[in-house]
Amino acid sequence: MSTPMTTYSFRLYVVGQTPRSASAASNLRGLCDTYLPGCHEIEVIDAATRPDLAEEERILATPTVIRVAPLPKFRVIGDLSDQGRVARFLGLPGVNAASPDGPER
Amino acid sequence: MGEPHDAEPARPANLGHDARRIVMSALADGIVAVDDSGVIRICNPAAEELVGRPTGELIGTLFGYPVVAGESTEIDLMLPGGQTRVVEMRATTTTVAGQLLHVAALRDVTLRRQAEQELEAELERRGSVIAVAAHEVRNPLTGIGQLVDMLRDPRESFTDEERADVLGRIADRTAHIQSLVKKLLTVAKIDAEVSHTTTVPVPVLEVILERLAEFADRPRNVNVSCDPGVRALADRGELSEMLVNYLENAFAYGAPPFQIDVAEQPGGVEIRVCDNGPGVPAEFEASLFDRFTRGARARRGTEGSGLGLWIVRHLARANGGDAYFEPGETGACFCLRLPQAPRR
Repeated sequence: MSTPMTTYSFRLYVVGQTPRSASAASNLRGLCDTYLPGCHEIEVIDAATRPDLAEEERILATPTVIRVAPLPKFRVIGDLSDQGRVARFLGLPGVNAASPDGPER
Repeated sequence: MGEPHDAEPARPANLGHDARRIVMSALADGIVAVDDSGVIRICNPAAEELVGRPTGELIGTLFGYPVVAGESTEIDLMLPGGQTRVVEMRATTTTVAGQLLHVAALRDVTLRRQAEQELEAELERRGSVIAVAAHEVRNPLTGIGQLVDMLRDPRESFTDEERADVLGRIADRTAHIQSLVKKLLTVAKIDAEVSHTTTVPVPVLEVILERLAEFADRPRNVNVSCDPGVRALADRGELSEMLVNYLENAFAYGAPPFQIDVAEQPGGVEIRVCDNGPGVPAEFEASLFDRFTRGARARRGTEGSGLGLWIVRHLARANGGDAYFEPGETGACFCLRLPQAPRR
């Protein structure tokens, strides 16, 4: 895996300080440390305290992570524990771009 | 494959009616199917209900890719008005009419839990043994599941010592469930009135030593004072069960040293199992032998099923005796009186 120069930014939307929220945040950090060591930023947004920000992105479910930079944006819903598939869906470098479940896209 | 942030609201995918029907009927829960861009292409009425938004509003909206590592995961749905709803999400991927769809199947956990709690409460009101089973087996089982997941997690690495510790905790929980199942079977037998008490002269010391041997894996500081010649007129299996329940109770709630005293009294043989723990709060004494006293358990903050003492009293009475509690200067004494058989 070549080290990407670009900084990847993610926004993680959660609701409240629950084990579910903590787990998603921790999984996302683990994912970034694996695939994007030293070149990522994570912003965690609690939709319970900032409903306006969730509404702005029309978040329908949490945990949702959005790759906000570099464009294009991608978003994934779930606990983010499946590193490989989440990385593919977020279009991270060094990950096979093929869909993990279906034909080549 | 970007997020169509500024794109026109997408139109429903050009999927045939049959294909839609197949997708819908294959999944009984609320379903949300997104296309290769994470945009909702299909959703069923159940999903509409769960998300609190009409289909017309959902179709074409960006949802994202549902990703689930195991069988399912819990997510919060954001409802209009700021409310949330916890749902269990399963994710599958399928191709419909040549189009790849990522399908999230959503099940309302809140409603299901509420229904389960209502059912448990109703069963508990009826004193049902099923309520005890459902409630008491779930916690250790959940614990076992989590510990097993931990061991199977490829990201975790354990030392031999840590692995042994986790396995030990799994074994403890398994033993707890086994003990509980045994109690539940006894309760079921009592409820069904199929237990047949056959009283014979039983050497009390023998039974005590046999039962203490069951706890040999966890060394206890137990002193026994019993004349080997003392015999109770009792069902041997039931006397064993009564002793096991008293011992479990003492080991769980009391503190060492433990003392088992057997004495011949005018009313029969008295067996006393005493400990040096914190004792029993006065307000709890009256309900000690009640069946499945949830409040009592909560006060004591342990994993007891609330069945053990009830079983002891029931069996003691079936054997022509009784079970009762006596507060000690320190700790607690649980007593058992049984008819006496002639000394050997």
